[in-house]
Amino acid sequence: MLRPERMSRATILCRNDDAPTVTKLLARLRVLHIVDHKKQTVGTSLIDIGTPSASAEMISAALLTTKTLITKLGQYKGRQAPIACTIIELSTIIERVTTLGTSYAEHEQDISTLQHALQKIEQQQKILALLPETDDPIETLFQTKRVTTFLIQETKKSVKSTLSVINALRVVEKQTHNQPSTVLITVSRHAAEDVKEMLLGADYMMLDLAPLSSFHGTQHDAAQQLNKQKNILLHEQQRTQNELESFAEHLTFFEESEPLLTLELLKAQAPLHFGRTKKITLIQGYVPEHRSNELDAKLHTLGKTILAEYTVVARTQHAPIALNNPLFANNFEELIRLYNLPTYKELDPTSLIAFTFPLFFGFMLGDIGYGLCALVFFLYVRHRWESVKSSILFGFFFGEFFGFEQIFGHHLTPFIHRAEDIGTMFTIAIGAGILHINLGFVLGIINELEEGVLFAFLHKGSWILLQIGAYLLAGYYGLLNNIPHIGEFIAASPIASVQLYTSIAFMTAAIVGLWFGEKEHGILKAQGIFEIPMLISNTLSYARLVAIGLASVYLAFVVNDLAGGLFVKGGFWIVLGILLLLVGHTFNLLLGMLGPFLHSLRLHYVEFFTKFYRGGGKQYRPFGEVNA
Amino acid sequence: MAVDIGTGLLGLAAAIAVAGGAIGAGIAEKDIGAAAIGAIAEKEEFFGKGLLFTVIPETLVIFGIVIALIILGLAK
Repeated sequence: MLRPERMSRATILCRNDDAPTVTKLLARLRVLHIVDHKKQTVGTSLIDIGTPSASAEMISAALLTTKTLITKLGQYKGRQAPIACTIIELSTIIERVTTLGTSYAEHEQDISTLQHALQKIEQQQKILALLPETDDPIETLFQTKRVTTFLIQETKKSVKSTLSVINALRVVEKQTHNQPSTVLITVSRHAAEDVKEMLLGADYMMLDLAPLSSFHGTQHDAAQQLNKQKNILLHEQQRTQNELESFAEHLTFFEESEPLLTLELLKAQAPLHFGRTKKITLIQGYVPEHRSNELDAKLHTLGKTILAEYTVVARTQHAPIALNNPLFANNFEELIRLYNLPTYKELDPTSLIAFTFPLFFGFMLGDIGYGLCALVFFLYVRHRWESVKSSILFGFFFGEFFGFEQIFGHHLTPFIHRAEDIGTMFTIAIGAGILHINLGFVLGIINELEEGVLFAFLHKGSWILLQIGAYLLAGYYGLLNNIPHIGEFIAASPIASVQLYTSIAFMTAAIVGLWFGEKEHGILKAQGIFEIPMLISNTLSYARLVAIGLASVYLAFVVNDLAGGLFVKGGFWIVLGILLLLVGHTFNLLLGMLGPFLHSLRLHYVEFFTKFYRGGGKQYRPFGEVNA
Repeated sequence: MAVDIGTGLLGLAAAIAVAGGAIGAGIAEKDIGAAAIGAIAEKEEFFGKGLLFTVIPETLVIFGIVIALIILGLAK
């Protein structure tokens, strides 16, 4: 429960001919975490890395097409009724994916070609619209043996007087409202270069007539021709687009094929992780110890030519991590993954977090009303809601229902009135912090026992000793006597009668322990001693359990007071009061869910984990799990 | 509710204790938060660590509140 799953190192040897069957079995069992083989020579024989099966490339291409089409067709989802599919054969899937993929790509290509053609027509229409109207056929605008024609457009800087000094055969100007005017200038061919330079020098913009070169007849004819062509292309584009969208009816097929193809690709590429000689294939990996017998039995059903050996991995070694927690703690594994998986030799604190996280969360958001609302919300989104339950329990403890001390007319009697009895609240919070931190140190000792009992006690145990010394010292000076509720008890207990030198001896021993418990050398050996102030700040940090809760309580009070004032006024103000209650409490609830979650998480990650947890384990991913 | 000048000053001192902690935490979290978001954008796995580093300075506010409560305790 407090350790990751115990693993066995599995070594499987089989003939190369049997390798595909073994791979198939492993993919079906989903139990072996395969370790990549590294090319090596054993004796005189080289154990090389295997080669993927011949079908790998084909499956890979089909998978790529499938993924691409799932993404592309996703935008048309719902527009087409899906076709139900029951395809089992891999070859059928690949064939259908390839056919549909090719057809889809052709349609895309067609649309692209049509778009280019439409762009060209729009460009031609644009130039035609700028062309001053003449009765001459368009073909006469282009350079002949004798004349050259320019189409120019005026700019803000254009020197208009230039047009009058040009020795042109013809000048036709087009004035358009809101647009710069355009001019068609025909000059004799030998003067063309000079005229061009003059026009450019006068800041006129040259427009290219080339897109119109394929036309014959008048401008009117050309415009009609272009409109007709454009309409045909638009119609064709719409038809192709509709056909393209109709591919969405195959979306279900693609979505169902994706995991199948992924698994088949995994199998086809599996030999890349295996070792291989001319005759033998070597597969190495990790299997949870309790499932090694199952794997062994299944392998033996394949034939006597398959050899398998299993060695239980000691906790001092490395192995992939499969978290192993009871059902109630499963949802909290997410919090461990978010931080870092434990290593194989470390303790897995999930089960402890499953207890302390809701406790802290509930202590901060202890309100029956908020707890119930959050519960409904979490049930609706089907998310974990263990923490919310503790919120309701603490709500009864603090006697709060949306900040009121009554629930539907019934008075709630709080065990602790947290808005008034702040001293008690701080005592509980700091007390919980001391327990939590020291639990961390105890786990730290257990984690480090492998490295030596003395080291573990010096490195982690010294901290506990230091705290005992500090509390004895505080007790000696009577500092603990003022603590609400327990102060009198402490004053009467043997702690108060402990002599000064005893507490100092404890603390000195702890500091010496911290020095010798550090593995570093030189000044770094004092690392632990420098961290002593951190212990004080860590302990005080648990005061947030009260602070966050108080903020929530006071906000609820303020909302209730303001709304109460409105209710007294009566009439329309009552509606406003209800609105204020709804908005205010919703806002407070949102804050109340986010704050306690983050702060409870932080108390675990920063204050608790730093005492024992390093993490850095590698996730156990059994071969054959597609989403792994 | 009339209070004497001494109590008023204690109230002010408590407010400064919380405000100082809050401003300090804000300044510290501004930079850490920006860096954390950058890291998370690059690699989503940094979410846990990013969140962790971002909320570390919040302890300053808690200390501020503790000091404020001690100061307010003097006023009684």
